[in-house]
Amino acid sequence: MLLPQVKISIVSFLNGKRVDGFDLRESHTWVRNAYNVTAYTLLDLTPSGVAFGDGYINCKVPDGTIKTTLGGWAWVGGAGTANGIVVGTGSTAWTFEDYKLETLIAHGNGAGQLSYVVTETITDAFVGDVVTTTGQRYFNNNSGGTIGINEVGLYTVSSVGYGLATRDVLGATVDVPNAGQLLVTYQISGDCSP
Amino acid sequence: MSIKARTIEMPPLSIAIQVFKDGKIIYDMPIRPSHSWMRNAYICWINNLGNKTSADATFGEGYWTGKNIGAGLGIPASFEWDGGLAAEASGIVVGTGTDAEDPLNYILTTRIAHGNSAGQLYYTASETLVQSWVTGVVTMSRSRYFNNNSGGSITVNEVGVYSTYLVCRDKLGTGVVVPDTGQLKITYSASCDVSP
Repeated sequence: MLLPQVKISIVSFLNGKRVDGFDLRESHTWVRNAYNVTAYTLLDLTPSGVAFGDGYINCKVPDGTIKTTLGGWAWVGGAGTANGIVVGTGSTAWTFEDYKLETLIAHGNGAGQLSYVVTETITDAFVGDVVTTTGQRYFNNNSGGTIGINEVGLYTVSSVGYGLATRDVLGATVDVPNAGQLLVTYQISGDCSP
Repeated sequence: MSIKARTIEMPPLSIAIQVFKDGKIIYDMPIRPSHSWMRNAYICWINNLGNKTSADATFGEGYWTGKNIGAGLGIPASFEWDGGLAAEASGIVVGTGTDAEDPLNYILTTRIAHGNSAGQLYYTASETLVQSWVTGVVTMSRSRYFNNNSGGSITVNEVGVYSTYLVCRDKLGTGVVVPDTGQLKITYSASCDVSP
């Protein structure tokens, strides 16, 4: 089963000028949670909380709990909340079974922390039968030092909490200097023609 | 360099039809591929991961909206394939319409009503879901029986699944005749590859 195409962009700024990062590029990082939710919602499957992995339809949330109530997800993150678009310092390679970022950067202004800004208004666009939805989020670095970003992901929100839907480990660290700002963009698109 | 948008790949869907009379199979259409996902299903699929929260005002190409069986617009969040006893507008449903499938279909052309009167079929409750896994692929199968107590033969030309929205619709190549006191069995199966 193919899931929608994902592209991401990560750029850091200081004093209004770009200092690091990359523009939109393709990502192939859906994790098992995303496949499970899609299969469940289309086919009305019976979830099981016995285990997480091949043979089970469920959702594993970042604290490791397995949830059997699944639903459509939203990926808006409120100010100060570590859901929606999130970033981390972990560099362990992506696996299909990932259910959280390896090392999530906490919200705040202390050492090693970033201030999570509310997600920008998410936009949708159709061109013919291709739908594209774009979401962006800023993170401010008031920590007093440079923070290196090695992983990004979407903690998508549902009625049972939030679960990791995608995770990208960056090829190279993106540095966010002190007093700088990081902008992460997710763009998801799919061709809806039959 | 632009990257072409990925075409949505829906789970392969199959359909099988049997007719029974006096305990014997009198018609048997073995399971065969169905290509009948409706636009509603595509909208549900993309919506799962795409964060849309309100429907557009138009149903069709260029709009992120589903159309329910009452002709209302909305976004289907998920589907239920089960239909209860006598529930003629949920789960697997059948009809007499002969219009070709169209992704924009949102109802069967002429759904057969539940009952025992002329032109009606008695909708039984859906059979229990059968769900199995084989190395990353989950397969589900759902069946429903329809009893003909109408006093005459009924020809079924279309089959679909209602879950507030029309999920899928199959126009049959040849009408399936269900004789009086006969029984119709419809089975939908789908497989989903849950692997990277």
